[in-house]
Amino acid sequence: MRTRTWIAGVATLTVLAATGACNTAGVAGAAGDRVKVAAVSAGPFTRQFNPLLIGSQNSSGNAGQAIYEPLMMDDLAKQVNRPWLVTSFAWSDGGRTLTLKVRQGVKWSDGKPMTAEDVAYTFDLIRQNKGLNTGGLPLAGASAPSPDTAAIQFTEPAYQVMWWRTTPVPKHLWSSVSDPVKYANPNPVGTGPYAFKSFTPQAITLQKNPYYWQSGMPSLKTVQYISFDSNTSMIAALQSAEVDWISPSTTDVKAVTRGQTSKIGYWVTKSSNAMIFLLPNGAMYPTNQAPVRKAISQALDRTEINNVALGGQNEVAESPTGLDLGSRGDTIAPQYRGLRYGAADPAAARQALTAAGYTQGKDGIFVTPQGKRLSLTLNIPTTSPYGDWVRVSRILTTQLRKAGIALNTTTESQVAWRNDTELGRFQLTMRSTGGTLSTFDLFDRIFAQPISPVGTKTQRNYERYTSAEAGTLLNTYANASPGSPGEQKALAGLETIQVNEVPVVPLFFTAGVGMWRTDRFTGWPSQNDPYSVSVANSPNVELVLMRLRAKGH
Amino acid sequence: MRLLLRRLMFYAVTAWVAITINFLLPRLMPGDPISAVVDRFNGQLSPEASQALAAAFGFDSHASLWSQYVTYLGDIFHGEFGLSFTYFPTPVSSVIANSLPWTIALLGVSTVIASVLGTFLGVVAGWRRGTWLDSVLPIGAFLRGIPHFWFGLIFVTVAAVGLGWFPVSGGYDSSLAPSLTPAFLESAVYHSILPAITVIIGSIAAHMLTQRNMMVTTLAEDYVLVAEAKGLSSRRVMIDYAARNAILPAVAGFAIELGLVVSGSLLVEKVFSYPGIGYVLFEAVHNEDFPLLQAILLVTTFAVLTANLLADLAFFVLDPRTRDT
Repeated sequence: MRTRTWIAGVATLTVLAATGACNTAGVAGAAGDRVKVAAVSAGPFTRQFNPLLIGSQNSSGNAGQAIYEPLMMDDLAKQVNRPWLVTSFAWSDGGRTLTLKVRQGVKWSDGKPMTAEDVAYTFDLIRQNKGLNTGGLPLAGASAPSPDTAAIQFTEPAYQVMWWRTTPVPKHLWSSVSDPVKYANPNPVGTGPYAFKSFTPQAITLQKNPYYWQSGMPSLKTVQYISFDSNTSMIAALQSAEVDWISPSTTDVKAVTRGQTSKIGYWVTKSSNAMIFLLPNGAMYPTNQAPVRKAISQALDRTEINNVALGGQNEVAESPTGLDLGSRGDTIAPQYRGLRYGAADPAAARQALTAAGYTQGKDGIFVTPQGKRLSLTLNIPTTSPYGDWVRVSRILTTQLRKAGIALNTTTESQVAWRNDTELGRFQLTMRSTGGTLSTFDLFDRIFAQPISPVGTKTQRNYERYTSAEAGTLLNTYANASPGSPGEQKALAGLETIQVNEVPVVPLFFTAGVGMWRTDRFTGWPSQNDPYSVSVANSPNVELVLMRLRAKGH
Repeated sequence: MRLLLRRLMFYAVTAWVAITINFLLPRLMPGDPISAVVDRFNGQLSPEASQALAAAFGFDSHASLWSQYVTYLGDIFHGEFGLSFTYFPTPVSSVIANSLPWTIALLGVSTVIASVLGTFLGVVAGWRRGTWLDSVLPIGAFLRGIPHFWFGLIFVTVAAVGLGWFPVSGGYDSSLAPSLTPAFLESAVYHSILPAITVIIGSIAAHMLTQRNMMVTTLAEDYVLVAEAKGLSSRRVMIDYAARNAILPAVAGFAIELGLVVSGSLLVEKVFSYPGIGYVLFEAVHNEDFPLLQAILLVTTFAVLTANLLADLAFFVLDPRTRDT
């Protein structure tokens, strides 16, 4: 009896397995114009498409990036703002009024035209609801004097706010929403190349927006965002062609493509100009001493760190100003344009410490003028995506040892580390900063004054570097119109502080991984055709989706 | 009956303690949900976003811990769990409703199969002690020592990516919408085979070994000897005399395991990207999502308590000795 049931069970499983296998094959064959994207591994999706609630967009797999569009596109590959829904803009009234020319002929995916009215409405919505003001815009009001012109008023000079990242929402649908902050927007209507079709916790299906303003785009009919719980599972799905484009947080790309190099393509690139900095605590001895911070920076060989700890996948910091030479070269003051880090110079680091009154002890480690051994503690998280940092810390230890500085590493959970960083409870830590296109934003995050005392949370100036001069310069910068001599002076001043005082130690840029099925689709960005960054979770996703073609079409 | 009443009282007190701990625990953890969101964006979100998030999450009003506790208790009675921070502004109840059924179906079924099959194999192995069956035991011990997810990774690499017999990930075919149609159910069963086998292999050995050892102990009892001496059929001695006594610890263990099913099996879910609640719980902890965390812990607590109550009732039926006191 029992044996018979058991056999029947096995038989059922086999039959199911066989029928299931047929099904999958059938679907894959028919889906030539359906590209499947895995942007994040953040578990099952929820039906949440409110584009003004930036914080929870990855809970719907970042699918909103193909549905909604910003006023200007942050082109992260070229590091420039591209006119998008807005064709041009002008400042007046000392930076308190921004006049936008809204692109004509753009339609929402329900067929209604998008006008300056919608743009002004969106800014007004943000002004009225603090919970939507994720960009911290000092808004005073917004109006649409004509169908193609929107005028935005600010309470203070707003030259440096990132207003262009705002994604307009349709007034004719949103004006009936009672609480836009708690609105999940389950049926999104946007201006992007794809429009919402259906939702399940495992897959969000988008179809081509018939009203899309860039004529002839996009080519593929359907985009599907698939949910994953882990990098491992995402990679396995790519290997068996269950998904076409993935962005695992970090992985050994060569191992993934092994045996399938003709079918799987990849590009590891700087997905934004966010830089990983080593942060010395400026509210603590001896990391508040400029000679110590400078010695640390001089002792580092950033190329070695990248090659040994990061598999050579990241780009290293080159300019001691902390700015990206490629995209921000024009903001670097003339006297620093030729300045490069180059190889490590432990001898110079030791010399500088000796000149500042530090003496080398018997074990080769320096002793501070106050008689303290120059032994520092680096606090980092261990969990993904920060696993690489532990390897980085080992190289740092070896390199700093040569300059007579001892480095110990302590690790903690991501949550605890984040908390300690915000509270200033660390001697040295690492953190990525400045992933936006605004140079002001980068310097503001580094230098913002006054500092938050240790024990009080902050989202800026984690290193607690105190400088009244930096505060004045930032203020000048914020109030100077773009390209004005005032801006140039403020920039040069802040760069001087960074080069001479080294409040933060630039290490390397963050890297993003994009991997895809080259046997199913063509048009992926690559080293030879770097028209966009390669990751599936950036605001530039629509640039890639518009270029994709089914193989053989 | 007195015993049963006493047990019920005990459960009521335990439930209250658990509810209170659920309330306090997330609030004692370091960090806060806002910096969790900001951190997720790797420096792309403006620092001002934290003020916006505070306003959206309703953190700008400062209620005392006691008044928060009173509101929390009231909300629980109304089944109100609020909005999840991780999946803002999705209500916690719908986050759980999307994931819990998958976990119950997958883990519930495979836990029952593993327990029943494992216990049965244990009974047989115990009865036939000293025969060739004993040589299977080291294999059981070996299987028990290996973590579930390791088998999962092997299955994905070999059976899914390598041979292509099974799907690599997910709970169903992405081109189907969840419904009770034959096509969807078939796809769901097909997708659940590898994760289910992973869970079963991972836990069957423990059941078998425990049950075998209990059997061996029980078989040494005098009443088993008497039953054999009376000339009862060996099947009757094995099932009614030995197994009925030896099974009691297994029933208790099974109840607890069944209760814990609702908290999910994170690693198996991660390996197969199976849409269960284990991953949601992980995200909730990771993002300091108090409302979601509280709700999942509450559901788990009640599932464990209910399972224990059922185990008590089962003892009541199985073991006449409990009825005397």
